[in-house]
Amino acid sequence: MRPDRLYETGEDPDPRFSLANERTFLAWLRTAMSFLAVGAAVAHLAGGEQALLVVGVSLALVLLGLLSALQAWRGWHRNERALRTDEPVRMGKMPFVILGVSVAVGVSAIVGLLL
Amino acid sequence: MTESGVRESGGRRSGGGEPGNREPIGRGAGTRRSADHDPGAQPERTALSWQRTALASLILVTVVSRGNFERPILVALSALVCVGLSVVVFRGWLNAQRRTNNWRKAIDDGRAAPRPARDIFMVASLTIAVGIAALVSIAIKFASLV
Repeated sequence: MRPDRLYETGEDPDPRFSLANERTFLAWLRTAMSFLAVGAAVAHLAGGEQALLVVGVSLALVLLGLLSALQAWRGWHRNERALRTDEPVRMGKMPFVILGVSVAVGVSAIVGLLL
Repeated sequence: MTESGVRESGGRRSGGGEPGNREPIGRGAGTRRSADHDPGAQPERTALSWQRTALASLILVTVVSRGNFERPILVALSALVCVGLSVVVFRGWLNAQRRTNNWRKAIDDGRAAPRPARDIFMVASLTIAVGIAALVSIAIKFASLV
């Protein structure tokens, strides 16, 4: 895998667009890092009670973190390619998947704690 | 920090700023604004974004490296990816910071092109590696708990 191969297609875009794309990548990456850190922290905090719920939530959070990191790279790559070839920038479906899963995780964590 | 300090420039197409720019370009009352001139905020904001990411990576690495990995090989691997992530992200910040100073003029002149693909790839894959380390520690913890 050679990430630099991206630069073999198209032309360099307006640097400001590239920089904005870079910041979008970094924002996704921070989202990923937060998911991962919270997932790991939840696992640390787990005592003996409701171990299954805790493991479920922490695994789901780590999974969300991995998905977000993947989205960070793929989104950046796709956007940069679109900028280079002068095509429209599209968001894809992954952000909605991440949104949906995190809502589901939050709701099931609350429900699990109340039951 | 304002981005509206743009100067007039005759006849050049306003390329539209970054998405989410606060002011619509070229719609001021009787003024012609251009996004072609950018007094340096973009590289600086990118450097600050790297800074936040570097600090966030410290939190992540701290939490993950407190995990219980039991086997020495797993301890070594997780320490390796944690240190690797911090190094790469802080290097990215350093690069972005250097760029900020060099590039203001280059960007104004339309000469500079950011090409961070390699850095970005490394940072993303090491974040994924740290995530896998977190996954392993959680699995170990709950295997011993159940």
